[in-house]
Amino acid sequence: MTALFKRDLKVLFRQPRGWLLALTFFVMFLSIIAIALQGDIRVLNRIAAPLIWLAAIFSLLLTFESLFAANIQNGTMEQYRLAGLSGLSIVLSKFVTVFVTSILPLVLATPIIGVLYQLSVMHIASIALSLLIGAPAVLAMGLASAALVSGQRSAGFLIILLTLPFMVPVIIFAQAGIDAYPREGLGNAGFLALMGFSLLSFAICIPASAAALKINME
Amino acid sequence: MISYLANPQRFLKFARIASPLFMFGAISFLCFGLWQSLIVAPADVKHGEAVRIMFVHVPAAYLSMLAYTALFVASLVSFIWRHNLADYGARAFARIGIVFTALCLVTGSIWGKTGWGTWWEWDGRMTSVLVLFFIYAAYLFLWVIIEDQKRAARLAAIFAMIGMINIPIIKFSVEWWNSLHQTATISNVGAPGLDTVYDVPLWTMIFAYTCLFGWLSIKQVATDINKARIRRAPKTEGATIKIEVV
Repeated sequence: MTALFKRDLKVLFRQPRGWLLALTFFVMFLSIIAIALQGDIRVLNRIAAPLIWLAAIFSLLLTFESLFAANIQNGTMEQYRLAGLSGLSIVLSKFVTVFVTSILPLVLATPIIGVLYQLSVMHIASIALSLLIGAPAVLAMGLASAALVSGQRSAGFLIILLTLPFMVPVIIFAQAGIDAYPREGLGNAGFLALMGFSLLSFAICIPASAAALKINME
Repeated sequence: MISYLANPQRFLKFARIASPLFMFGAISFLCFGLWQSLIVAPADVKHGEAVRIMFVHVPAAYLSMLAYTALFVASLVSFIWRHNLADYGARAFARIGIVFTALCLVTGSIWGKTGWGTWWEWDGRMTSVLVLFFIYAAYLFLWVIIEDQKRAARLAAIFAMIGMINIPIIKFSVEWWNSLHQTATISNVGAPGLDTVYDVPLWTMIFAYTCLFGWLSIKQVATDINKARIRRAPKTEGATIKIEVV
């Protein structure tokens, strides 16, 4: 399990295409929107939180197409199976790897957006926190979608389509949490609900991904 | 009952009897219900004649959720017992469900225009139905894109089950969001406490829609069974050997 995790991590770091692509997309997307809004700081300030959230969701999901597909194609997945690794541990390793290599860079990049959008420190901190708390839900649902369509052509689009409806609670809870953060701090209802949803998505989607992977490898 | 019908042969036999029954139920309930709702029921004090949209709108909303529940049950059965009929059933429920969800959205929008003065309002109910529509669409896309239909059935079943767990949360979150941002609730359309004169047409229409749902899904499953049978049937005549005595 730890060996598997180390391997996943190494592969992702040595091929920085994936997460660098996501990070570049994240910053570029948000800058383009600022340009489209003619750099109106007042408007940008108001819509910064949902925009950053959307950019984060899309940039994450766009990298998911090759997450399992590459491993299935070159036979690595079969070897894992032969080595006696359960589907659960494969998915779990992927989850942790993506969290470290994709979510953390995005969270670290939010202050840059804060500078670009001229957000207050409090605001940008609350957005970064909400990303950190809510990302497991995005990740879990995205992993499940990626596992469902692994090995299909035009999978990338489908991953987004499958995941987005379930992003509704994430976005709503995150927004509510960000709004309430200056007054109520980290323990506000929005963040708590977001945390709960993250845990629930994790509990549902990890076994679901493992089951879907198993079906796709038959 | 379910295990009895699990056999495709017996299901087809059942369909031959049940399908006309449901059809008859749907048509007669629809005729009676439409007559009741369009002619007999009086115009509402608040909504005027527009209240009649309710009789097509509310049953559609109910059916969109009934179909998803049926889809979930069929998916569960399909995932555990890997039965063909459950797969056919799940896909049939989803196809019918998405149509009625669309109908619910459209009629809701029309009713909104007369009630609130806008075609669309991001209120809790409309938003959650819209998300339900997206979930149906994503589910059906899985079936379309995955070519191996056996595999598609099992993967789609997983997706449907994830969806079932998430739908109540989505509903809750949207309503919560609504209560945060729209303290002044827009008029209470379709809320309970409706005049009792509307009970008869409304319930008749709900029965009619349910029968329609039963009829369409039985028809669809029977069609799928027959299609699979045609695919499996031998394309050429079996070889025969003729022995001629010389």
